[in-house]
Amino acid sequence: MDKKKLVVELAEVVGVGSVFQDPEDLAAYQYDAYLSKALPDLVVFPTTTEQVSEVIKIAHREKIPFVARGAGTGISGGAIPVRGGLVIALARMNKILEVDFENRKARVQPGVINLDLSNFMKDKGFHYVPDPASQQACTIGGNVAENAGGPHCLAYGVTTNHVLGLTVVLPNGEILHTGGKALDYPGYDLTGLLVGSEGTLGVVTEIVVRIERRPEAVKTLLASFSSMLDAAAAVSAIIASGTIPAALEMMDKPTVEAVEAYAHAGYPVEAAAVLLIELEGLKDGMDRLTKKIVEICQGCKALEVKVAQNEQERLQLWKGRKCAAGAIGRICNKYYLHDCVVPRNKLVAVLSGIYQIAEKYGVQVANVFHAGDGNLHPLVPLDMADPNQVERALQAGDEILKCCVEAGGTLSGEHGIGLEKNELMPLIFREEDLNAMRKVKTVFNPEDLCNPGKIFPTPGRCVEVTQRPAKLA
Amino acid sequence: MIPDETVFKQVAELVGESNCFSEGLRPYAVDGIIPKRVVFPESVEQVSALMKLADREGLVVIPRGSGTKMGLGNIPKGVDIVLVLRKLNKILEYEPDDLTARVEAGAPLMALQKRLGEKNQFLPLDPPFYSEATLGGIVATNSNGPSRFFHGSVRDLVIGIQVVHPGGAITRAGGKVVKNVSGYDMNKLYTGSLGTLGIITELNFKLRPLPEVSKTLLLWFPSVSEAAQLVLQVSTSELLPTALEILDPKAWKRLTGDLPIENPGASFSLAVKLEGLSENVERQILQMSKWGQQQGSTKGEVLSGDLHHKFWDKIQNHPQTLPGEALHVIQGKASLWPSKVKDFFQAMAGLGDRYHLDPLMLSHAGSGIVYIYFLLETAAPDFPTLSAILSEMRSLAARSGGSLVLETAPTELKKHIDVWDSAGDSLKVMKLLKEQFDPHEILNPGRFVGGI
Repeated sequence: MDKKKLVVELAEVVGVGSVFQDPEDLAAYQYDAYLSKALPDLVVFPTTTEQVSEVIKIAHREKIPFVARGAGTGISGGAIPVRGGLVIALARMNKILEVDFENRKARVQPGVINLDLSNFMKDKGFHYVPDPASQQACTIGGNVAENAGGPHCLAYGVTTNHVLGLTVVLPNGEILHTGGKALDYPGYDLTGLLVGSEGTLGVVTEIVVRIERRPEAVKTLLASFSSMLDAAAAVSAIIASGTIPAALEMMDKPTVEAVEAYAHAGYPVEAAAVLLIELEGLKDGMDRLTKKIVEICQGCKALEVKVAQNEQERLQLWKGRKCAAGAIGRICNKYYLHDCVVPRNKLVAVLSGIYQIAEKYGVQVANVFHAGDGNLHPLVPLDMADPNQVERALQAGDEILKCCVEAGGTLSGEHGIGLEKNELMPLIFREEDLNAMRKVKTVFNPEDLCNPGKIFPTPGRCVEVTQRPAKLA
Repeated sequence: MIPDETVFKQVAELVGESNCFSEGLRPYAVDGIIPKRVVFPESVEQVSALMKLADREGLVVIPRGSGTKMGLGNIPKGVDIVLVLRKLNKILEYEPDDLTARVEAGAPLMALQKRLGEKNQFLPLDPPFYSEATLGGIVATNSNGPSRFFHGSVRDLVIGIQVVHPGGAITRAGGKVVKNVSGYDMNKLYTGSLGTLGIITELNFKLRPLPEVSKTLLLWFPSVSEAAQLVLQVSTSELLPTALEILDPKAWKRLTGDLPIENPGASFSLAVKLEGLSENVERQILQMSKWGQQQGSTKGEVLSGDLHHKFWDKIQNHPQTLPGEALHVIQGKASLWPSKVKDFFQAMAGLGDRYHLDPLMLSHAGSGIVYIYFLLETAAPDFPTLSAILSEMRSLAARSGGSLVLETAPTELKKHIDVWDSAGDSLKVMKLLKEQFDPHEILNPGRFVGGI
């Protein structure tokens, strides 16, 4: 179809001001937080489920690929329109439609920013639990697509555990409703199947989430160690002690140094590893529990254990963790952030492996991660002026992933496969496993119009990981 | 197509003569349909070979664990082979430091809990038929108990799965780690799919540490209103109970009659399961008792130790403990908005009065789940009328934001009513999924939602 005609038709659905076609406007929608980019042909800004449905019906009729986009904070390339076509930007679908405190559920549009939902309920003492590091910017819709995590997912689960119902527009424009404010619905758990499907099965336009009371008591501890080994041993000892903290985060020496230079969070720079531990629950017994955790850390040769005495101190301790990626971004112009998961009893072995790999390829690596659930985030600084360094960094990254997989781990814990790791899927899944997933895709998205080029390895492509198709920004 | 004897000979060869039975199969009948063979495969490879043969020959396969929930579902379109997974019952991996375990689908939940208990850990599932149910069966039927209020449901605890598809493909999804977004979350698709997409052969779970202290607070109220009001007050407060259970007087009597707890007469009971540090369990007991009195609670009691555990055994095993020797048992499960539990109880009581039926009800009230039992002693109940009543109940559930599934019903009644509620506009996609995964409809055909 002629592009002009298409613009006119789309504008009839969403309004003239809600279709972008100028190159300078489109440029902002060619990338997300991954290293690659691809220009869309058009960007549309629908505001209702019906508009999304009409837009998709047009795209389906004309066989134009389309990609839904939230805030573009994803790091696996999920929002990049690799085959051009439409970007369906959901930023204007940002209404909180319903907050039902009695049933502890909220119904939101996909463009609602994660933190805005929690802030909206703050004075009632409620919040939405999953808290990705980008929660000030990322949208609930994006969280649903990637099944996002966050530090507090250790105790409370990831996005999928908090999503109970969806309205979704299928790639042919049909509108589908799954789940709702009750717990069990007849039939297959399509809600669960859609969460984490990276926008490849349809476009979610409404989401029913759990909301919870904020905990009565919170204790935050910072323990520093002279070796990663000791810190990892403390993680195991805490888990084995029968306590599951709300959050259990680890940072290594390069991270701590970068963080301190940037944020002055009061982290001990001489430490080789720092654990940030948060306990939540009722105030009764909290002091005893805190004491127990302090003793466990001391038993694992902690250099120092600080307990935040008030909210200000608590925020100060979190400040370092929350700005870790930004702090590292300050010492290098770009970095490659990985997102692999290993069984928690393999943390020590895998971390040692990661440092060895970095040394082998002559690259730096900083580790800041959700230790409590084994979700590693090795950050490899990239020197964009040096293509050779970048190539070595990418190779190191692939080997790190292999190291995690060999330890019984997986490719992604909370950021998704996207177009970053799709060629690596055969590392963890056999053809039969991928075929089962392809069957699901065939049902929802038979013509591969909806977010094409993601998750699945390119047919016929060699699995050799050095052939990563990354186009660098 | 009528499968001939040569096909069944091949079935026997695949699993071995000693694992294939052709006689005395009445106990394995599904809604009265007696299978032609019952097989007990000993490995996933045997399951795969069976599925390949069954798919090729069009043999209907009904997967089965311990058989505790074989009554769930509509009448199957046929039953050629009942595939029993009880010989695939190993605990394959248990990593206490990682709080994860990998098990074969035929392993009983109890066996796993025993093993985990040695390390002060557990799988926080407390479904009915607790002492017999297999993990594969629990996952396939999405079978949950009172503790789902705090610990989540089956879907929240399965982190990896192995499934054999029609045609024989052995597939895996998820993995051993507790956080995983690599590929579609197939765990969710298979959980609660009643064996209509594949045969679950292995499962990975995430585990929890056992609580330091575990107690029960019992409070009694003159009507369901006050009990339900307290449930809402507690569930929206900072308190952290594990389970909030409401029982009507008749259900209470049948369930707890032989326990040394003083009979509260015609009161509605609220049972709260509390787990955690001793300080916070005690504090919650005090606070909820106080709130209970403010709501008009007439009496309270705290259970601990053995009695606490025996009490929750009775509650969670309600499908076994409640019906007793009743001639016909009809049990429905309504899943509602938690705020509507009170209305539903009251409407059901009204409906019972109108039709001279005597419903017994218990509810995982914090989660909005209500179980309704009709225990019938008439030799030949009027099933058409009953099915009309059940349709009315379904409308009540819909008005309360939810749906109603008949989990137990005489086969005769199933001829008059779909045991499942409507899947709405998502049924179309569900049917397409079934078509993709089981194109020849050999797995549990007709038993699931919308004729799947």
